[in-house]
Amino acid sequence: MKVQPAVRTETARIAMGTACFSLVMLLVFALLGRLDVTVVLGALWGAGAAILNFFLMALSVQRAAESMKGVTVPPEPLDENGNPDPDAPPQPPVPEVQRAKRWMQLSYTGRMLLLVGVAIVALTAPCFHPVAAALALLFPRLVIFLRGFVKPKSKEA
Amino acid sequence: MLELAIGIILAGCGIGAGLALIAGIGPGIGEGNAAAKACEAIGRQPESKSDVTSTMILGCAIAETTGLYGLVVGILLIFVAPNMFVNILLNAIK
Repeated sequence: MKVQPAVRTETARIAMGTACFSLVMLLVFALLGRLDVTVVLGALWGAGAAILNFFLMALSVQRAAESMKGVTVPPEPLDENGNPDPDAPPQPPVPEVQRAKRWMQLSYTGRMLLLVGVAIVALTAPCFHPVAAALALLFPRLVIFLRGFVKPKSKEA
Repeated sequence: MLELAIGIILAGCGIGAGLALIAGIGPGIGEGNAAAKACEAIGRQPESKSDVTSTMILGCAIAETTGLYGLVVGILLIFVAPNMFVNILLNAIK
């Protein structure tokens, strides 16, 4: 399966942001006088797992989107105001859509099991600092949150 | 009495971890629904596939973090909290 540019771009952005946050975290540990090799290894382990998890999720999304190639979904029935009509009869489910939904749920379960393993190793192995590894797992969310404050480039430019 | 206190601590940590891991159910259902709606959107407007994919990637990542919070809290409660609370208890008794 060829990786789409959107997946590559988003993963690269998340990876860069996670790396920046990891450096900031190491700086904070250094300021607190608690920086040692376990903190660095924990940050690397957690950040690596977070980036891998994001990439696998993006690949799942890409596969779900590609499964719709050549499939046409009929437009949603609207009322006279242009809103979805609640009185309209329910449309029959599209098999490809249901398959994509199940695929995403299965993919989520698999990735969560992967993260359970990563977190257990991070918390039990003596070579990893548990706080550094657990915090690094949460950095992609922070990166996405901060991206909301960055003005997007206009497509015409 | 000490054994009872330690038992209550361990039971509390176990029950708390179980409750925290319930948080992992919702994002899975939500991600599936988001993917289904995004696929419907792609089926209606194939030219918007790239935009929908980018948006869905970020949306799924945000939804997934909620499950991750629960996972981290649950695993901390299983592997870290019992030792910490038992040590606090033993220090308080001394």
